[in-house]
Amino acid sequence: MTEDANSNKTHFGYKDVDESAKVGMVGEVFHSVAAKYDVMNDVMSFGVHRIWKQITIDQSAVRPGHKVLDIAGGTGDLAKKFCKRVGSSGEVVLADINASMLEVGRERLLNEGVVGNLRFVQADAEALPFENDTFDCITIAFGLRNVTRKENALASMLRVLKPGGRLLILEFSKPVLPLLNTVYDAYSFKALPMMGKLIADDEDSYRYLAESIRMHPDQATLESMMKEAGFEDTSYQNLTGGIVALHKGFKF
Amino acid sequence: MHIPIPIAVLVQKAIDQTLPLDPDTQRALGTIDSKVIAINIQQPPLEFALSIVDNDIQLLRVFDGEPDATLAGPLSDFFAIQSSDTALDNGRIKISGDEQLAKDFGLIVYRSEVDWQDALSPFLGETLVHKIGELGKRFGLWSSGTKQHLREDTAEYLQEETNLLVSRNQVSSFTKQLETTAAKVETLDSKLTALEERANKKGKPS
Repeated sequence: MTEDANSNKTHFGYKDVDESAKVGMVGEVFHSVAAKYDVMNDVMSFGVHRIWKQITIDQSAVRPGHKVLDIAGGTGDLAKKFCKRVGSSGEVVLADINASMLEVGRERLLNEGVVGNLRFVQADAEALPFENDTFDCITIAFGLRNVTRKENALASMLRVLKPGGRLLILEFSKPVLPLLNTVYDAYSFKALPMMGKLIADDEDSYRYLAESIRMHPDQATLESMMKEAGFEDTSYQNLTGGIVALHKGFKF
Repeated sequence: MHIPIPIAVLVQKAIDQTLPLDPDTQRALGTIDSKVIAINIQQPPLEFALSIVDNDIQLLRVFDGEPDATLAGPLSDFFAIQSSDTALDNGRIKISGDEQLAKDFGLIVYRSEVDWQDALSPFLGETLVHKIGELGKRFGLWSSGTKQHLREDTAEYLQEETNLLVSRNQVSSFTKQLETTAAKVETLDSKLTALEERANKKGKPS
């Protein structure tokens, strides 16, 4: 956990900022990148983010009739696939704190004909506006590192998860191979901001992306945070050498 | 082994393109809606699951939950499901979970007009799919032929060799004789009743 409880400071990339300011600053980043978010994801990850998301779907055990909450769902990659899985008897809620991201996601999914069993909710992961024991599965893909008080978000997710339900956290993590770490560092701090400038004309936002990844808790720390929040049977799976990790936890 | 993601995507596309051409199958899938059927192929080893959603089939590369039914067996036996309605009865495909669901699913596949061989060939290769399909069809024909022969041979053995059972003709002839005898007994009974009534009338003083 990177937040300093005494001074109410937290990290925004490598900078220390007031907790109250972080939400707005992260919001600005995502307002700025929303329009080019999908293109940048493909370019930055060489398309591999689709595989990471597919593995997340595979691990969800979502079946027809289930209720799924996709937090920080952004442009709706996961929500779209979940909608097909749950069918007309189920429901998917795409939640995002950022109105711009939600707008892009809503437009994209409507254009693709994903309607009927999908709801869009602008919501803060730290205070989810849903009743207790509502969802069979909750996912948060590449969103947790932007949350100011992660422990609050985990507690909120646990509250709205049904007993027997599972939480899946897909997030950048710490590469486990030494050589990969070096290459990854060079890529993140040199190539990524440059690509951000060229494609989205927004170098700072993509520098924040690289920095925020480094400040995010590593695999073991995040798993222990999940346990502290009350999740059981927790585990994680490194993807692409630990560049990304998929954490899984259950509410029993 | 799980299906690699690119192949799973292609298979799903094949399903999505092919299934709408067979509305009867889509309607039939409605009877097993919301069910998840795990498929565990042993030769070659391959695991996946099929989720029935809104008259459609979703291929689940991995299903990390409890399926409603699981079918396990060699690939050729799975292909035989399309050519024989008894392919799930011979025990070569092991069924666990909801057996009725598995059999209902097998019947839907058998009755479907979708040429799965054709639909699957783009990604498994036409030659391999053709060979597997032929193997499956031959097995299906062999299976139903063998079943018929076995039934006839067993009947012949029990009737002719061991004399434990009589032939259908003998049973039929015996039944006819029995019916004739019963009819005669009934007639005799009526005649006796009539004679008794007449004797009673004669014995009474006028």
